[in-house]
Amino acid sequence: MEQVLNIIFQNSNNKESLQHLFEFLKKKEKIINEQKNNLDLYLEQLHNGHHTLGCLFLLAAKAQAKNYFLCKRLAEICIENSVPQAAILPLYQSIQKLQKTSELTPAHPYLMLVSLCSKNFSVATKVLEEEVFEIESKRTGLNIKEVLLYFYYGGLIWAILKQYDRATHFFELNISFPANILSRIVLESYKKFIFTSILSTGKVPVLPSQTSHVVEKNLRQFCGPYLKFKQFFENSNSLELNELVVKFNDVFGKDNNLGLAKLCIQNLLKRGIQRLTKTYITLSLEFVAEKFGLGSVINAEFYILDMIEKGEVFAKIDQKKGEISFHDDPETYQSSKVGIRMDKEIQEVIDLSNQIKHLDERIMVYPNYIMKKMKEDYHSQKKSEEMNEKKMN
Amino acid sequence: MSNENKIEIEKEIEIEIENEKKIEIEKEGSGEESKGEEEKEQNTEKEKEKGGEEKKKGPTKEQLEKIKKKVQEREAANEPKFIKGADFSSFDLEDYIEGYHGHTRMERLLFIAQRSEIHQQKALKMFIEEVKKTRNIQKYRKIVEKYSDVLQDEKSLDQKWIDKTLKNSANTYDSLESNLKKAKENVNQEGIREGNLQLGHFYFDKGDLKSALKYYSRAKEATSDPIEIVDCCLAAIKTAMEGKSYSHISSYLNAAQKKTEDLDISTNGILKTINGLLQLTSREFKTAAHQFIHAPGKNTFEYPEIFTSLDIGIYGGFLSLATFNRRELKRNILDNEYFKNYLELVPEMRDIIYNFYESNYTGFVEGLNLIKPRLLLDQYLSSHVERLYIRIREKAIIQYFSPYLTVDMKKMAKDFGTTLELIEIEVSNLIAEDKLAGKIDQKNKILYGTRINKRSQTFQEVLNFGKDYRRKTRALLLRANLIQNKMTVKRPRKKVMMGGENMNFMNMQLLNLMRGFN
Repeated sequence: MEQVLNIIFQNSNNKESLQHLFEFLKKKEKIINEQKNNLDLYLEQLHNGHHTLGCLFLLAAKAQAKNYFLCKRLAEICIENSVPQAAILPLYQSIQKLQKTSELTPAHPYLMLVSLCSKNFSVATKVLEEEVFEIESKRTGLNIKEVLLYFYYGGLIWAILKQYDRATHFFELNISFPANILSRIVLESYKKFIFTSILSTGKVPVLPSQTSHVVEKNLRQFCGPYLKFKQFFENSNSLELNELVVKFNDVFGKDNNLGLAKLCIQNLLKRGIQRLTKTYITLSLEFVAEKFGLGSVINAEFYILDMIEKGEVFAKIDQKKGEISFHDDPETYQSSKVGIRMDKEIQEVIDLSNQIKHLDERIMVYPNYIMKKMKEDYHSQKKSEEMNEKKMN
Repeated sequence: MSNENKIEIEKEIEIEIENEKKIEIEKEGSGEESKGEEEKEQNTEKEKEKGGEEKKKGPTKEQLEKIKKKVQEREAANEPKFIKGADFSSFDLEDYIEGYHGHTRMERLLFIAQRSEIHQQKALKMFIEEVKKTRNIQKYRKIVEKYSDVLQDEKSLDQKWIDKTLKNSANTYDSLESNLKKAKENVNQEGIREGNLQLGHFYFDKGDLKSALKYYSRAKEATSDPIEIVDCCLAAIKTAMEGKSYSHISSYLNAAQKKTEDLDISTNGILKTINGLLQLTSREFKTAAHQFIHAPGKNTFEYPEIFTSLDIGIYGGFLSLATFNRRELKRNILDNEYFKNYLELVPEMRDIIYNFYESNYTGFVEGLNLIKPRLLLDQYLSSHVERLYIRIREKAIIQYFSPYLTVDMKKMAKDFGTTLELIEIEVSNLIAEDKLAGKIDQKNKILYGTRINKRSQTFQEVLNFGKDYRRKTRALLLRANLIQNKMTVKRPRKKVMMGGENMNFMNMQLLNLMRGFN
């Protein structure tokens, strides 16, 4: 241990050796871990300003589970002191170090929270991209609230980055977790779920079948204006929708959903035009303006131009004749990019099925499961014996 | 959407009315009976039959009031109105009603009277004639009172007829009852069956459908001869059709069909046709079509108490046009010798089908329009006509377009006898519903067929499916892990707080770390 300390002292001075120090410390992690009781002493010896990396390792060793509490406090302190961005990097690193593959740790939600507060999403997206589904609450001290918060904040971040599809998925996860009561987080997730699913697919899907009854029943109670919004959107009536938003301005505003609501209304128009591409090859701008109440031909042209630029529709505008002609999606799926993508996805699926196999194996060995199975077999055996007896008689 | 709502509401109302009618039938039964003993017996038997439906000694006064109100409301809402927008002047009432005998004649006349303004007076007069041939005083009274302003000559109730019928009924009832008693005493199975059957006919004629059904079922149980059983079943089915009690129809139908496996083909034909009508009432159009088409066999059959041979041709042809695809149409109709014979009886229907098959759309549309009044005035088809017409038209448009890459919509409009705007709306609806694969060039009014790029589509679908699968699997794994770690959204417990000193120390460390980073 003394050795370790010396090396920390020596190498914390310049940037190059920091890398070496890092690797060295990683190797020596076991030794550090064993010295749990004396860590405080060692920590005092290191000056925190210079030996931050060393400190971090020692602190990490100090208490693995406590480490996550550390994360939470870190986040809170940074936010209080108005420097949320400072917490981003440490939290990210702690996740990287302490996480097993695809595991959800308590550090995750706090990283998201801090990123939101500091409006800096580059690190957060990297973490979000990695799909998490493993949990070991004993080792990591994760609780359900942190899980809910992770997906809620994550959903918010995706929504801000306009990846509505992923946002919807996160919110949907929150809603469908096993639950006995309705949590505020789930409620807010549902409200945003309605909006993001409208923005990504144009309709609100039915809740997955695993959603607990408690949640389903209570959601309807508390989300009146939102459900009305959903209904009006399905009727594709933008006037009514506008009126509704004005009427429930304070409700939507209190939940900070006004922005999403307005985006949805804009989306209505886009969806209408996209539907047109299915039925028509050429269309006059007047027709579009009239059908969607856009006022003038110039407005219609403007909207469609906007959509073309964003790649939401494939068309050409003939300004002189006032016509639009739609083409098909020029994607032919013949490039090598597609091949690479398919390969990657196939690999992911293979990995997933391995995971499932592992889970299956784990369950099969699980004592409770074996007991249950034995009871069942015994019962069914008895029943078949009784049936045979009856037949014989 | 409104169509679907209508269907649902219609279904509900049908069920309600069926229930109400049952109750009404019971009321009528208990009102008309003059024999004290019989009444008691009937009541106790009704109790046994109903089971838990009503209270012990028949419905209480309050309940009756409520039921009456409900029935009135429903009847007011469901009052048959004149069908507008259809020209019934080409419809020949006498020709139509010629083939029907018995009660169905009466029912159909009433149906037509309520729906066709032109024929109302004549139909009502004929109806009165028919109703006087039965013993159904209740019905006679009701209709005469209701339509008194329309009926000029027959306005006043023929009291003489009423009295005569009442007396006659009482006498007939006495003799039938004593016959049955004798047969029961002598344990004469044949006599018991005959007696029950006769009583069943008696009640049927009176309009007491519930009692009729009861006696028919007793008659059926008193015999084991398949032919006799089938007779009883048919009588019961007739009764149930009038009372619109569809569950009874299907159970008697099943019973009869089991027996006819050994019997001749003509009875089979009758039963199949009745089955077809049953399916029609529950909107199972395709099954109904099959029933009608396979009913005809080597031998002819008829049962004018419910349907005529023309009906088989019309129902079968119309329903298959609405539900079969081209191949089925060929196999079941054009190559079906037996059914074709019946189709020949209704040349208008035959022409429509042939025109459709040979893509002669002008003739097809004209034929459809010609036959519409006849279909609208048919008791069983009327409520489905509009919906099925839309379906048939859609099929025609899809067929019209199928061999072409591009179609000039102006010509299309002319062939279908509508305007350009209307045909454009119809086509765009079909495209939006994915029934037609094409795109409209609005500038030149041309409909282009799309070559769907299957390859791109497949890629798209596969990628989406893969993404979906990965998401769902991960979500499930997450869920499994949550459950394994016993994590659910519960009421929060008190959190374990850490010691104060440690916290402070940690805070200090953290702050220092921060300074270090910055």
